[in-house]
Amino acid sequence: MNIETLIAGLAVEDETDRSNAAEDLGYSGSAKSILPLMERLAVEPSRKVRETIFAALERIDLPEVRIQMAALLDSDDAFLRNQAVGVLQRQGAESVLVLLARMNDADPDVRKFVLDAAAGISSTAVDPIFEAALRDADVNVLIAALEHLGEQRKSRFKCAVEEIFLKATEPMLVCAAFAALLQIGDVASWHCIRQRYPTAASVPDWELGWWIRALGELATLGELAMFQELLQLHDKNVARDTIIDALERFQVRHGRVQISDQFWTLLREQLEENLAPEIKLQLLRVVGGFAEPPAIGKFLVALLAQNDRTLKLGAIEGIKRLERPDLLASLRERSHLEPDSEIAEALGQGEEKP
Amino acid sequence: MTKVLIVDDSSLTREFHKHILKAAGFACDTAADGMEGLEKATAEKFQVILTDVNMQGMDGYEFTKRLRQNPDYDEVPIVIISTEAKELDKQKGFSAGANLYLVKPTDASRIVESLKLLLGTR
Amino acid sequence: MMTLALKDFATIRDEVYRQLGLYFEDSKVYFIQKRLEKRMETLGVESFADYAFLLRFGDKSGKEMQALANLVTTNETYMFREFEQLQAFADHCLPMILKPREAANDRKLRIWSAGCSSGEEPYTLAIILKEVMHDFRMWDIKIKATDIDQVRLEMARRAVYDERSVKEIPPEYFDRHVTRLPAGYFGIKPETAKLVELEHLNLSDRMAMRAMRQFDFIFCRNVLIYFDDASRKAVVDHFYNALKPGGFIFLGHSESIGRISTAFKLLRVGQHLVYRKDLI
Repeated sequence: MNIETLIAGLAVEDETDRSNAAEDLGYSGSAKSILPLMERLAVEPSRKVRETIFAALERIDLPEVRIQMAALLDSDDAFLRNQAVGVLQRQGAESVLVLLARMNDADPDVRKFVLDAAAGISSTAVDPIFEAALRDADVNVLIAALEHLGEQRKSRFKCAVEEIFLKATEPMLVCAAFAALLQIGDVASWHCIRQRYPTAASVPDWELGWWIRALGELATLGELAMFQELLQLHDKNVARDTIIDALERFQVRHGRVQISDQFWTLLREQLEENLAPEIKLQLLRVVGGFAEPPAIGKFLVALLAQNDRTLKLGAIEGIKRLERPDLLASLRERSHLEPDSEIAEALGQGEEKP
Repeated sequence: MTKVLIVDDSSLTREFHKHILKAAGFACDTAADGMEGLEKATAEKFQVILTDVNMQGMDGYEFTKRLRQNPDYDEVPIVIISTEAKELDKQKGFSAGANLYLVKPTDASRIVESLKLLLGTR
Repeated sequence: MMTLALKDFATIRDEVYRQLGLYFEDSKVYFIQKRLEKRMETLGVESFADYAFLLRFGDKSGKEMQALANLVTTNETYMFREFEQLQAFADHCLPMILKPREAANDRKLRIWSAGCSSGEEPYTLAIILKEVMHDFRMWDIKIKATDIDQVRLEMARRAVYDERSVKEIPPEYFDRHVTRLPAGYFGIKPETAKLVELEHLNLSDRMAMRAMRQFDFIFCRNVLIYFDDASRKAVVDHFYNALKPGGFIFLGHSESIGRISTAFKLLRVGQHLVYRKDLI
């Protein structure tokens, strides 16, 4: 179809016709479409057609589109700004040049939008953007950079993040650095964390979640007792699911660790608490990851006889995690007698089928 | 328990605000963009809404406007919390129907105090 | 040992919602986790955290997300599937369309079952319409049922099903619309089946999609999740254009329009959320 006709179609009365014209311009891939589409955006009353225009621009995938999108980052219209961020994100590494240029913008909001776009671009090409952001004077730009580089596991920035973590005072900034260290940190990072927070008691409430995850991710074998301390705190706001997740991670890093009788008692007591079913299930699965004094195996097998579905499934998962051949065999035996199909499959009946 | 819906595309921010508000005794649910926020707020009633502005899909202004079209949310306090600090942005927030506009990063106690004030509790 | 952290599962859940508009219901979580574990074993991925990372940053083609979609959804189709949603349609949405039409003496109703497969959905809709519309004979009703798969369309044309497909039909409706056939099969009665017009259509064919216009309802349940981001956007874009103002679109009950489009209005109808095109 004729480009000029399509461009004229952007201004007709019928919303559907305008939408179709925009879509066809997108499929044309023609650079001539870009400016008319941008001009129409400025005056188009229909939200739907505006969305179609952005989809068309994204389909065109030329440098000129990215220049136009980058220019929209300082628009007063939130819809235009956010759509532009989306297009730049999805066009990937090709967008980096224009994004990097906008990191020089005096407006910190614009610089933050650059980070939002970079968040979805998984390529080392975006690293210069993060480098610039980590030196930024604006705390929101810094927070966005930390969040996104952590999610993308960019470990080359580890030292910079550690430095920020040690010096930051703004709570959200500390959390952002903390969260990033959980993704890219190592033994040295754990030292930094212990330097700032020697004990669980020294951690501000809102950072406790990250502290607990850091325990799982980075703590040494000898620090297992810190989990016990946490459970003993009995603070309802100390999220049990976070502790259980951290314990699991700790197990996977250190292998089957031996736990004391008191710790085992503490863990069993968690089941008495008012925990959501999926958390109880997870807890039972995780206890199967410890070095097994006979108590754990016996306890889990006893739960199989209970009527509570969650406890049964949890016990099955825990027993599987114990990896004891004799217990696994007994699970499979039970599966033939189990009326509940999901439990039967968990017991091993389903798994034996090809 | 007072239920708050936290709408923000940053998982870090959602978690941060969730921790703060849970510690202050609120029950929290979260959404990552305006449409998800609208769906959750439509499916069940929240007593207070905390929303970001800049999100993919539906932004915070649009979310606020549409939520106000729901008669169930006539009186529910909506707080916008955004990185943008310009006067124009704040005006947009109030025009959309927000009761309060906070700028990130906001002090934890300030957020909690604001919510409690808006809810008429202390 | 694998690391299957609750928090990381939540991240995966969010990512699937973000990319496919599919929400994992709480009741299905255990089932999905088990399927996920098996998938991870196949890929050599040791943790939910790593799998989430893969979905977010290591899946440019969207292939893994599609594999996941196939893993966690059941492809079975049967009549009156997602009963409560159909009830919401019949009890609330249908009257919203019918009443003003009746008042304006414009008794025309058009429904599109997009991705109708072997026909269970459109025939279900036909039964519902015949049962709930008291003056049904006075109406010009057409249910357009389209699919890309010619084999399934042929099955739909025959309108013959096995016990599994018909077992959810409400007993009081059964004999009025279904004939018992030999060898344990069931046929939809012609009087009911004739409301349905079957057609081959590829939802990604934009020209063919543009020919679909003036619908009051579009049903596209458990179909969009199998499309990639850009295609899904384009399909929904066309659905919007295909609807009359005030028209409804029904996705699967655990699907969301999410970030595909914000042009639809969200309505609560009973326990369900539905999307509606604005009345001008």
